Amino acid sequence: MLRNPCETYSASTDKSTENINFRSIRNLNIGRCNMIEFKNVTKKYDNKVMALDNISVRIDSGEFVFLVGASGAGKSTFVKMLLKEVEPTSGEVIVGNKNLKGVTKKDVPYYRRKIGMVFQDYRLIPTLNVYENVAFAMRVIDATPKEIRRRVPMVLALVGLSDRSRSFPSELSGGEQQRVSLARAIANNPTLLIADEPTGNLDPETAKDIMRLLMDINKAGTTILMATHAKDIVDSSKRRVIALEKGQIVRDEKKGRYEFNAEN
Amino acid sequence: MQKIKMFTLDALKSLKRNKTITLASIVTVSATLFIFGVFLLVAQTINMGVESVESKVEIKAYLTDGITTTEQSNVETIINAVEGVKEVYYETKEEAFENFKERLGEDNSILTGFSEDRNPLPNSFVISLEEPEAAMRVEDALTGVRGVEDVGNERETVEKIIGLARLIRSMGVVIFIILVLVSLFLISNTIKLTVYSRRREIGIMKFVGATDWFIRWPFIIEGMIMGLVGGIIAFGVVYSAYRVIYADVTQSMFYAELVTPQYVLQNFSWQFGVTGLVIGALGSFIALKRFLDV
Repeated sequence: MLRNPCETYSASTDKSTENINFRSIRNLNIGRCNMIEFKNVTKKYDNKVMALDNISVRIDSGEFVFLVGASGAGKSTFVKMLLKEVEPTSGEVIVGNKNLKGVTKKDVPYYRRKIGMVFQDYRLIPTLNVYENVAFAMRVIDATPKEIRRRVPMVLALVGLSDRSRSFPSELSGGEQQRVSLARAIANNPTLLIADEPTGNLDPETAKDIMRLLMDINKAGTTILMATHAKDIVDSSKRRVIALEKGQIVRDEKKGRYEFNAEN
Repeated sequence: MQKIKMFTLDALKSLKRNKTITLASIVTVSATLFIFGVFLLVAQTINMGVESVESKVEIKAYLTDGITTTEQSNVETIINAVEGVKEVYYETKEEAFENFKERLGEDNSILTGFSEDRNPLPNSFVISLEEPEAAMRVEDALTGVRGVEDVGNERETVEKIIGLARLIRSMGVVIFIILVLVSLFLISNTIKLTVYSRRREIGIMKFVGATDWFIRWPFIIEGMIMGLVGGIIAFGVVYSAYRVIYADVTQSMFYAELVTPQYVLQNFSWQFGVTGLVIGALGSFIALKRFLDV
């Protein structure tokens, strides 16, 4: 069963742990609806820095979008806003069908459960092994032990780490660690996956592996927003590119490239 | 139930993992609670002393020489009706004379010239009081009553005793509060070290959608365990030290009025335990505050 891409966010834990066998649904057409919408969003920090300047953008569910731009262009603020770590100074952010204005401080954890996060530095817990790291993310959101026992081996198999489940992060290569963090991100079946420079610390070959996994996850219906500096990856992927510069969207192309042209 | 077990297991695991910090926290708790215990003992002893002085406060109502039996029993009824009067005792002038002589001891030669039949002392009621404050009430009740010549005015002494008792008690409360705050500060700082060493974990918990309380519980249980252990150690030290001191003091000064070790065992044991628990839990809560605001 494929999840309805327009499903509503609920405060309760999502008990549906359907098997994402994404190879089999590779060519399915998915109904489209809004996943992310920014409406005239401006963010001005206390130090007067204009991080986002009147941004309006729409990302449909099921899309794979690259968010590019130099450091300080506003990528982090964009991502943080989606996690409700940062509030817009003005404008509205809508994720799923939820206006984030209406998400109270108390609801933020429940809201975040629908978003998977992957970081450049993997952010695994060094004292837990691979299996425990993934199980940890599920335990945190009150998944039952039975569910955890069922789901963790499944997502580890998806990222190709079944045989490393007893290893500790320090015993893994960077690529493997990033795959663990990917497994963790999808363990709770998110509708949106945000990857913040997921290939930043990886060599090109390993980066490609991670990209393939991300593409697979995307094909299973998960919307993916990836902030990145990796020009090669963006150029070869031929996906939508949103480019930020000084807090403004300077480019939004369907099958975009990292730079508009060979750049001055 | 399932969750409490899980959180407790988590807490125990982390206590084991961070042995040094755990030990430091326990030592901090027991050291502060030890000071706390010594203070409590001193305060208790002083309080006992004050109470025994208070309970010994007596005043005298002097009677006129020509008092009639009806008047005398009337006076007695009035005194007995005053709130806070423990006992009323009729002292004849002869008894008063004897008592006075006795109290003067070797200096009683100044009484030469006075004798049983030339006794300058009046008959009186000796009134022992439950609390010093009752002295004023007795005095008020007896003003203008026939047959009463005067009420032995020890207002100043009584007021001094009351004032001293109040001062000691309010000082006790102030010192108590200061000690609690100091131990809270110390413990929350020590626990902050544990929290700091696990801030990444906390960050990860936050972005995968853990609620604040989910993150908090293991730390709070950790704090409570450390507080409780610290409290038990502090109690053990205070109690065994006090038993030795008590035995020593009562042997050399048998009249000394001290808190019994029995009392210490019965009251301090749970007080230390509860204080340790509360301080540990609160310390964890405070320590986490900054790290949860993400």
